[in-house]
Amino acid sequence: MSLRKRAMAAALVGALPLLAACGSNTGERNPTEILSQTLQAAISGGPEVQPITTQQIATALGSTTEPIALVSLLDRTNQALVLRIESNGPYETFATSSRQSLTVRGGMITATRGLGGDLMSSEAEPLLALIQAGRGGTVPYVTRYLTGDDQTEVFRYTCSVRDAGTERVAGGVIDIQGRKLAVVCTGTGPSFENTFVIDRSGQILKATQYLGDFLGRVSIQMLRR
Amino acid sequence: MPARPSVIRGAKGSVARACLLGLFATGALVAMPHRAEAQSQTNYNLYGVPGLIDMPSAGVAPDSEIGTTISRFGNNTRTTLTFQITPRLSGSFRYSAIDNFDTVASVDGVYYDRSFDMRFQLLTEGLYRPSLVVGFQDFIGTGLYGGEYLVATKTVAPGLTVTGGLGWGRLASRNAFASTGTRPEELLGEGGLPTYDRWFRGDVAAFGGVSYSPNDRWTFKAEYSSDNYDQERRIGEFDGTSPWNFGLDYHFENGSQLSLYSAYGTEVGAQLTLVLNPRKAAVPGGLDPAPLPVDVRPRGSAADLGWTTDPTAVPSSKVALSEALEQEGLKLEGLDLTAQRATLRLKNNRYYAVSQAVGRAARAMTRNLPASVEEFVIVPTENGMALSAVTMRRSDLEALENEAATEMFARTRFTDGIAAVPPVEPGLYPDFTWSLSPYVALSVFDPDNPLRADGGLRLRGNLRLSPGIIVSGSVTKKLTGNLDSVEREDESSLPLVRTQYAEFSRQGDPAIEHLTLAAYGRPAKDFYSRLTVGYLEKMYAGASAELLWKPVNSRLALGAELNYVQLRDYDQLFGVQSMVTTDPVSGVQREIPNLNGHLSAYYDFGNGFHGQLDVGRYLAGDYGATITVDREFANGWKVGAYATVTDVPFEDFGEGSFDKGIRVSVPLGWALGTATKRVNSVSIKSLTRDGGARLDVDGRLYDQVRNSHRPEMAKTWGRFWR
Repeated sequence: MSLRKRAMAAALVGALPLLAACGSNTGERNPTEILSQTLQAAISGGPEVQPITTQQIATALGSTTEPIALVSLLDRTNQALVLRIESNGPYETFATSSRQSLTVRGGMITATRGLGGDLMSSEAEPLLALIQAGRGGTVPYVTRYLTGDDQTEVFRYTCSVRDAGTERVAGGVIDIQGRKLAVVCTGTGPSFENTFVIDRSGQILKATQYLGDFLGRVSIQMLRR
Repeated sequence: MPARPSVIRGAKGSVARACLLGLFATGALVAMPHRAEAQSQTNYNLYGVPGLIDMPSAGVAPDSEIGTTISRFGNNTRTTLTFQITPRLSGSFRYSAIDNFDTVASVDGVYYDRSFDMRFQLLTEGLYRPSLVVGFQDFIGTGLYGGEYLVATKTVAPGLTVTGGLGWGRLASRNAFASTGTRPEELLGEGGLPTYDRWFRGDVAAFGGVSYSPNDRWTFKAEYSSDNYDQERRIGEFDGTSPWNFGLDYHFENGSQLSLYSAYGTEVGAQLTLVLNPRKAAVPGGLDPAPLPVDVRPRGSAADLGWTTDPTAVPSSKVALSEALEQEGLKLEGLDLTAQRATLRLKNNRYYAVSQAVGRAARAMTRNLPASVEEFVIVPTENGMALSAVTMRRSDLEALENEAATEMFARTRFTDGIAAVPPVEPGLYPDFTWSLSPYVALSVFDPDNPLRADGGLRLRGNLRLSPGIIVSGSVTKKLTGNLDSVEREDESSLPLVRTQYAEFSRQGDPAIEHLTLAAYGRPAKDFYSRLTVGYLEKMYAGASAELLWKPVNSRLALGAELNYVQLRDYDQLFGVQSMVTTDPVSGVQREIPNLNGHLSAYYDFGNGFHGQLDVGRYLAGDYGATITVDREFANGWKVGAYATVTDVPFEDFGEGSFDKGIRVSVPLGWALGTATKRVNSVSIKSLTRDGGARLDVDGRLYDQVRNSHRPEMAKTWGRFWR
């Protein structure tokens, strides 16, 4: 799957008689608009990416008392600040200003929405328990994605957790030397290695996770709990 | 008891959060696919099927792959669409042109021909066993490319494959070594019938070759061809001197293939194959914005019924919910709110997957309805028809938001929406919408000019008097094009119900494509109805009535349609003309009957295949049946084929013997990654004749209704939480 393929698909469909140029409508998006956005994105590789500055972080922290985190799409060097907008039991949902969200549990990403190729849900309780306890071991882990055909694809993994030393997590109001754990997972999907940095209480302050073939590696770092 | 502020906590909360979100002007995460997915390396040949150069191989494309090939060598141009129908079965449609090939059917020395192929994999490749494929080339029709083969291919070392096969027909025209009976020469019917009398009969010859791919980009190929191009030598200018062909393929990252060939000692060739697969979307799951999450009620709040005595509580919940739905491209058309149950009449203008619309609506309800409301009933509507009632418990939504979507599906009930649907809110109707857009109309396969097109502007308007009563019109103005230059006149032994299309095209500028009043309804449980009157389509005015029976949990539907039609004036403005038509060749006058109609059965086999059978009277008064089989994908892709056989004898039908074609529907959301209900449908039929023709009225019920029923919702339920 590549940008070219996407552009080509758009061009193929665009060649068919469907373009709506203008009109009144309700809720339905104007295909011409969607098409031009898609083509622009395909040609330019997406909007210009600027790393988040400390000034932006300070402004964000000052504007709310809710938890805030920094999300990085590591394979695309793309960053955004996310704000906690909701919680449901142990799950917390953080969102960008443009309606993209990540759901975390204890700091571990368990789902995403609006990023494309989203992680729809996961079964991470045993893994989370090991990490929060700072212990090594082997546990099952399950991730679910939608396929191009809107079917749910389930990947079942066996993950081994091991100690990986320490790492400093500094950003926002947080600056601590945390314990780092590395997790190697193999199973029915592509193998990967995730890392988690926890504080003394076992809370994950920074998680670096593989979120499927489309999204690649994503990290979420807490700026304020 | 006065209502406490907490009862509309959800609404307030979300507004406050939305404001907060606005402060975060720190941009969006732009995710683009970063990794080349391991693509199939199906090597397509000059015929656009898996093969070497001009010969087939036993290669098989991945399930549901669509390969479109344009190839040329010497005087031969072939355009082929190949679809991998099942993991073992594939079908191809080909349109070819041979230059300097003078026959009675040729136009300016160019011979145009359509052909269909089928291939079936008998054995898959094993450790020692080769893949074995049986193929029928050009098995319907005039049979210029007619031939059958049995071919085996084995990968003998990494990247190195060896292919060997036996060919009949055209594929046995060089160095035949045996014979299996006599191959008849005469055509069955008027062409267009399976050439079963020829299959695996006559001479047999051997062909084969090798291909070597040092990496996923390049493939080197060499083959020995058993095709001597006898007819091309006799009638055309083919002068090949060698049975040996050599080629080089380059595969792009997206799977597309570019090839260069040296063929038959004297010719050079080139080929481009574009592949796509309905099961691989540009962005799996799409790029739609994140839904607002479920708002979980605080413990104990569900017992608070204070709001039920507050006269402002219901209207304010309604306004808040309506605004939240608006954000999702959804519309609240009605809401019944009682202490424990909320029933939402939902209009979905955005999501192809109704499950996604319902999932978003349900989450919006958790954020905007009083805490005591435990049962959510969502009634999706289409043209005012309540299509189903999807019933969920709010506690389940709260508990299962982070679980597999199947958990929620197991706790969701689907019933008929007819009894549940709330009345429409006052003030929503009448509602007028319009659009102005470009259009392209195509005509393909006319030998005088294989591709003709008109382009222009189309103005549409829809006046909804109520949700189910719509005045709808569409006017086109041509800006450029050559559709009106169609001059072919063939004799027909039927009234000219479709073959006057050129005259309609010539005179219809501007043209009213349709101008109708349509009324949709729910006459009873499981029943849906449509009545359309006016200028129904480009060629016919009149009235069309349809009744559909489709229980909400059923994969079977039955329908009936009855039409009373009158031929419209050629100029496609206001007016009708005599139903008596005069054959352009014989001068015979025949009358188009006023009445036509069908009984239809629709069945979803549940394994990705869908069948439809229509039995009845066609436009020309001929009686018969149409059978349609589609391979369907949950994302809205459909690839299918149909055939209509009526009581018109093959010789009266004319070239092709009976009406048949293929159709492809491509959901726009699949290609763009952004939710939209739009689907582009292309239907390719080889010829427009008068037999087996149906009225082309808008708004047929089945596709509108089934998407909100349980079987379809089950297929797309993964999108409930998307």
